[in-house]
Amino acid sequence: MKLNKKIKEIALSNNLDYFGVALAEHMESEPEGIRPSDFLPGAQTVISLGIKLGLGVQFANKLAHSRRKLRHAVYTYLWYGFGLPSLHYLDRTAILITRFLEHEGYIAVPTMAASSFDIRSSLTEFSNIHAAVAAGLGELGWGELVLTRDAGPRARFVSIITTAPLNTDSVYHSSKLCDLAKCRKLGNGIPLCAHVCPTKAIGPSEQEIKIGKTLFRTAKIDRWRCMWGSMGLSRQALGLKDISMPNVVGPEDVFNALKERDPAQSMELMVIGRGDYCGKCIMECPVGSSSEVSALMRRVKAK
Amino acid sequence: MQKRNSNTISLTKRAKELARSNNIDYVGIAPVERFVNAPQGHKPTDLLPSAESVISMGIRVSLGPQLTQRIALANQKLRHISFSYRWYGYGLLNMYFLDRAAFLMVKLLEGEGYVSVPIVASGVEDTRHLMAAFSNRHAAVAAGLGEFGWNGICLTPDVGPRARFVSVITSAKLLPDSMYEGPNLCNQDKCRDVGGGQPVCASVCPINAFSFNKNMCVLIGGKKFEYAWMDHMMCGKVVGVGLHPKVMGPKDIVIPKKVSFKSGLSLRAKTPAKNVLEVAVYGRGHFCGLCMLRCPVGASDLVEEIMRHKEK
Repeated sequence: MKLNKKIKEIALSNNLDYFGVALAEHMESEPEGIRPSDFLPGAQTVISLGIKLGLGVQFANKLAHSRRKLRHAVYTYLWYGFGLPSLHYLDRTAILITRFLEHEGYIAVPTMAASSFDIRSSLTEFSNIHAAVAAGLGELGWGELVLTRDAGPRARFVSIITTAPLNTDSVYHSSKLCDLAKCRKLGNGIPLCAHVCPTKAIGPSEQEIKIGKTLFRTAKIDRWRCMWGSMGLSRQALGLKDISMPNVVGPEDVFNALKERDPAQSMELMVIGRGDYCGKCIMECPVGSSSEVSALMRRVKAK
Repeated sequence: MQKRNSNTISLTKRAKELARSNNIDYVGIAPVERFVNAPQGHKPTDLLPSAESVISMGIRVSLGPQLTQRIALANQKLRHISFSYRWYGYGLLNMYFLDRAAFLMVKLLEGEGYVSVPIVASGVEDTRHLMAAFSNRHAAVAAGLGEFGWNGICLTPDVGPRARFVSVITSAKLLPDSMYEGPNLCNQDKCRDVGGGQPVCASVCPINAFSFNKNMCVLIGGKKFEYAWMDHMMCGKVVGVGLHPKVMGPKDIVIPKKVSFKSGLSLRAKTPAKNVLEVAVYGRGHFCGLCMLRCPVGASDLVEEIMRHKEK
């Protein structure tokens, strides 16, 4: 109890918005190699930490996507919506909590908020999304993003796998947030997240994901198609140049496309390294969308 | 003079407090005279002509990242979990803890009227001479934070080589710390027994980067240190960036016995797309670290216990 309180204090005093603890066992249905016990034999719990994306940052993304002339506004989202919250806030806090737990005699393995992937399987190395759901912070939406009650998918997460026997939260089981029937109406028959995806990386095929005893039905996500959009390799995903995307995308294709980018686009990333040019499935999701941002977008469209 | 002394003491105290309040585990101060034998162009006074002191700050590598790296290196199936070490045992500690603390230190000292030059914790090099612009390791030893191990890394009394360092060169005359005077940490005789005739750091190196017969000898503050010569090009620019087939690198890449800076660049150009994309988010981190992780000095019982259990 005392440990939970202290960890929560560290998280909240470092500007994070969400804190939850999952029983490590609840993630044992993850694929072999990415279960908590693969990272840390003897893992007891998984701490999930999250941070909301600022409204101005969300607006900058939507503005850039709605007005080509204002494409440059996406820079705010690239950094403040991806790099900074992930690397500086979530990861930095994750190591502070890791250090605290070690001081208390436990081992803790922090994952990365903006995780890369296992190059052999193309799977995420550890799913911060599933950990957040296991820690009760939100529901697993059809687009395989965590939907929090207040901000929907507009949050980023990091996890800490630890041997500490912390008090745990239940897997998310509150009211249903992802209303597929309603969402299909908004998306001309397909859920909005899939409808707005510029690279068609979401669905239509589906999968079942088991977290604890709960089964979630989500779309299958094509990570490489998603990466094509996220790295701005098409104009619809705010690239400066449309690079022809093959039907089946692999890492070689992404890499070659990166070389084909307009040099100005690689230059704009010189300082911040990389960021997410797309984010449309997050921004357009009706769950937890901000009325202020919507009002601002109406003003932009009325101009 | 009295005023200067009390200023020196007070500023030294504030500088150390600043470090500790920013999650820094080690802080020490070396007067620039201790670097008189540093290579030309790499002395504190080469980088700041008015330099008086060097502040060295260090942070421990957490046990979790140490463990994931050990597991990943021991079991190819779990190669992917080593990202935790590359980021949390390298990139994040260097950039967001050490460099950040160095930046704050510079602001404090410059606010007091002293020009200060922060050195990057990792990544800045004099590419013409294949050496660091300024050695944070040597500065840590000069500031009394530890002694050199055979692996050429600063060994601290509590965690051995499992720490990273950054330095701030300043024109402020701060109160210096004594050099490390505790018991000898790197016990080569004992270590050779464990390492089958060679020190553990050299015997566990997957590419035999440590020389058997060539040593480095340095003089810091009148104290002589000796450690193994090692092929930094092969360690840092081939293994470190994940290019060596023996250490998580692509299986089909041919590594010549000797790699020069130029041939290292050609090798990097051959890096497969997946491997380039693997580190796209965080830039880079070291793919090995075994000479540090397996060193018996300051090894964690918790980590060793888990590794023993896994190896059974």
